[in-house]
Amino acid sequence: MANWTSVQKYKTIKAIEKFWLHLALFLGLLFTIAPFVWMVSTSFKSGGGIFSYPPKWFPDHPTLEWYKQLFKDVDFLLHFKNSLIVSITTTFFNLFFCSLAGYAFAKLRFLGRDKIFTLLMATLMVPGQITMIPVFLFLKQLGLLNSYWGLILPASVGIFGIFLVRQFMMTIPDDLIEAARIDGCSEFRIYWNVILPLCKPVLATLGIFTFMGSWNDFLWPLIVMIGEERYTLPVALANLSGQFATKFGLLMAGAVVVVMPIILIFVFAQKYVIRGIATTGLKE
Amino acid sequence: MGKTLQSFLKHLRPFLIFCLFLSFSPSALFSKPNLRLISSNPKALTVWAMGEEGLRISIMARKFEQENPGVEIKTQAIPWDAAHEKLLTSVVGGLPPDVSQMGTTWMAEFATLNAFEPLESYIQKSKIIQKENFFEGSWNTNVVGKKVVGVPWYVDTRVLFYRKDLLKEAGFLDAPKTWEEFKAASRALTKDLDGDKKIDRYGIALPVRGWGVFLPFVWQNGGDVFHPTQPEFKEALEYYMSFFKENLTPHGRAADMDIFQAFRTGFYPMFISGPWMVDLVHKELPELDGKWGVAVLPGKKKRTSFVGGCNLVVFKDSKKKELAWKFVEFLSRPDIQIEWHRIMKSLPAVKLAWEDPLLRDHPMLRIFGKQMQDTQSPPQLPEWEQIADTLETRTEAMILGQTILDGNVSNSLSSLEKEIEVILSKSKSSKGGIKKSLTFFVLTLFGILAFFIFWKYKFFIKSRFIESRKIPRLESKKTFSLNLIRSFSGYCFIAPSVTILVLFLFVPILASFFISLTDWNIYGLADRSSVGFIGLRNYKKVFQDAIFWKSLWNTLFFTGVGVPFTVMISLLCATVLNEKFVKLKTFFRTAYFVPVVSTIVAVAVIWRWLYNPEFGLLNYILKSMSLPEFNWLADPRTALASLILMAAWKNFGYNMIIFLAGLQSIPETLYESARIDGANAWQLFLHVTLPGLRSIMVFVVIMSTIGYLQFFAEPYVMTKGGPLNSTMSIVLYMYNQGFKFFELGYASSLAYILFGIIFIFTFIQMRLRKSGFEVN
Repeated sequence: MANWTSVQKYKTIKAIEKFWLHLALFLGLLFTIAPFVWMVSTSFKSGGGIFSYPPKWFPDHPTLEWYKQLFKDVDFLLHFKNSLIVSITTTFFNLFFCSLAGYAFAKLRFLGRDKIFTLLMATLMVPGQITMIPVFLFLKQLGLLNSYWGLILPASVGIFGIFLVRQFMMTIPDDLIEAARIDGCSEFRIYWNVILPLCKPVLATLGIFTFMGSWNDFLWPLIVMIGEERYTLPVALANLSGQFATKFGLLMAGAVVVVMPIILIFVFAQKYVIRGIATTGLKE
Repeated sequence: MGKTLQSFLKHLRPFLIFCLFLSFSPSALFSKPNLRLISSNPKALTVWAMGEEGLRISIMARKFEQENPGVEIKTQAIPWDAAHEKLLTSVVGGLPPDVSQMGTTWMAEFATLNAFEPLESYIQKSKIIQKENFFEGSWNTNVVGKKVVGVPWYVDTRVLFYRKDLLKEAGFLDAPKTWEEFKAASRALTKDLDGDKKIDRYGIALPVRGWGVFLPFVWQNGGDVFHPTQPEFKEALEYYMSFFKENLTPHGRAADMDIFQAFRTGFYPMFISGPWMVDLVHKELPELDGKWGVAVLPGKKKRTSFVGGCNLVVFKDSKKKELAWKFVEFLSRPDIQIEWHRIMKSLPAVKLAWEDPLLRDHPMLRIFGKQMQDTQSPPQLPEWEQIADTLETRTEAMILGQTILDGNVSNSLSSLEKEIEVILSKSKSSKGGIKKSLTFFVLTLFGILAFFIFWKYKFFIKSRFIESRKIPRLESKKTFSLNLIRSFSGYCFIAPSVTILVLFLFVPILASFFISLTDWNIYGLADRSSVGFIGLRNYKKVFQDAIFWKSLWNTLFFTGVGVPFTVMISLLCATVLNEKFVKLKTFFRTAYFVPVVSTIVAVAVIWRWLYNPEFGLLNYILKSMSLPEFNWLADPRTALASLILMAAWKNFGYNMIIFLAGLQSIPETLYESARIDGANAWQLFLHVTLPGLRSIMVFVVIMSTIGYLQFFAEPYVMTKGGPLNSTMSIVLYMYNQGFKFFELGYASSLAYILFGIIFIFTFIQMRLRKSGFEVN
């Protein structure tokens, strides 16, 4: 009997702990989503009151005028399509190439492996801005300006991604790979059938980041895409803001439209950030 | 033997797949003829314009096509935010449009790049475009080195916005006309309304940095920007500074206060701004209608104001210059100018257009027309941005260093004059030839190559030795061949990535190293033969550059505080959101990731509000707890810390997701057995979670360090590096040097120094966490 009450007491304490934890999570939530809420609500505000302090969290007279203007001024479907083609292809290439290279750097032995890897890491540290003009001239030589490939190719693999995948794969026990090797698996099959399924969480993460980076990229698509019909969505929407007088409602409506696909991808992809069944049964 | 061959072929498979990929990808890449840039139609014209103008100019284009049958005009909008970069790359890449809109302050830069067609011969023949048809100040923005390279399209100028009712209350029926009246009015307006010993009505809003507002005072006094030591300049500066000294304008807060809010409450009863504000004030503050007005700037010898706006230019590389000119003439016709004003509300550049009742009888715009008669623009020099930056930095220091004695102003001004002289003299000199530098470059490359060969060779011997010792293999005889085969498949796995990285990263990085050894600047972009090889002189200059050291310190401070802070928050959130009992996991994860995807513009607005010294949430909380309040972003002591907090908020979601992914690879069984052994939550975290996250932790720490060392977006959006360079980061400084001042050589050497620093950092981290870097 005494035993039973102590279990009950334990459970109550746990429940209280859980309650406080959830409360803390909700408070943190207010902090993180405030600018986002403001962004969405401003996109429904007509004219005045945008700059009032403290910020107005909800519009007095919600309006769709900014969204209407947005879809009138911008050929939405065209730019959306451009963005989608570029981002999805870039993400696909990144997932494939980075996981290939990451696997090699984490689990294969080859001459000069660590030196090559150090070299890659070193270039990660050069600020991206300085390579802009040389890459632009190079793409011109290749005849890739104004084409999707001009955007996709330079971004199709990232040292960030290789490094991320490598670090994750290093936590996978070698026994698995050795076992597969003894069974006569080729290296590619080990990579494809044994390792990749275990890497869903990190691939989902890399996918989110790559998609987001490619989707939000602004300067590079603007420079590479000579013709307006090839602009990606963020570039096309950036045209809506003026030099001095920015229509904030319109700007925010544009931002909401750009952000939504990323959030959808995030919600979709983060479902794969769960413990893989295979790893649970493994022992180090 | 057969077996070896078989396994060899097996290892070859990834390579074959890669070949397959390569063989089909080029065909996909080059299948589309993508350079449809130059239309085959001899009467087709490409026209670029910025932002909303770029969207609306098509209306004008259709009209032109109607008047000129057969002509086809393709208009294209370029976003303001990056128009400068876009124009620059298109000119350097040799793919400019035929006609483009051009900001008045960019004219000299692009003229130096030899991008524009000189227009004198066209103007001589023209009936529409003649100098006297335009406002003088505006026309002069098109004259670079005595050559006319553009035609004004629309203008803007700065006037005084004032609250009629408040000025009347203070005893002034009209807007101030002279410097004395202006000062007197400001004094009369400045008040502490509620008696808390804090001023809640200032005289006027003046920026601490901002040559567009400051220079008109110099011009009004007959001064010259290039000669700050002249008494006219000094007097104007002292007059400007006296507003700050006498507390008629708030120190630094001007940047932080929202102008609409401040104008409504009377915090600022006066401010200086451009024509776009007329519409905005009407829309934002409809309750103030009739209570405010605009006036020509008060003056001393003259009532000069700054003239801006945009010009139209024809590009040298255009194949249809006659037609392009015709379109420029069309846009300059008075009736078209009026029509453009109707569409965009911008002010016409052609004087005749101002006689239209639409402008002549408009109570506010009329004043702008009057002000346009007396305007001036900064000198058209490619070094202008650099001079303006020097000027602003010096004046800012003088304004904020409140205890200035008369001697100090003179000293500061003479060093300012010297700095301007240095900037101006630099442009003329050019040394050496490109050949010498090429030889040097090739030699350096050979050196690097030799070093690598040596390195590799050493490594080759060493690694074989180590590998054979470390990993005793079952078939020791086959070790070498196995090694080769294994190596081969390893190379196949990394081949696609390495190929792409070499092409698009390594080669450009080497190229920029070459650039860092030259004095390449805007003149070099125009004429490559003028680029001189100067060895390590850029690096020497960097080490003597005070702003560099300041920005280095800022960057290191930011990294040192920001990285541990961000990593801890993200690890905490990840661990909590990985717990099984947490409900609504997807929802929370998404919500905590939202700062990463929130638009920086919205983020900036909300954080400005948080940090606002008057109405902000942070100061409100401090006040209610009767703690001292801060001037967060405007105070050099707190500005950097404020930015760190904001950056940590913006970026922790990123690391959180990586940690979440890392947590999934820790076997559940480890937790179970630890729990059975009686471990509590903290012990679980310390002894199971942390060791399990080791390699991911290495990743997160290294990537955050690199990210924070390349800190750019937050200071760029929030403070532009100010106040007094207290938030200047190395990458922001590099961006300014490279893309604002076109000092490409100098910017590249900055990049390489940052590279060196990051390299050392990472090296140390790798050493410290060596275990995480090894394979097993």
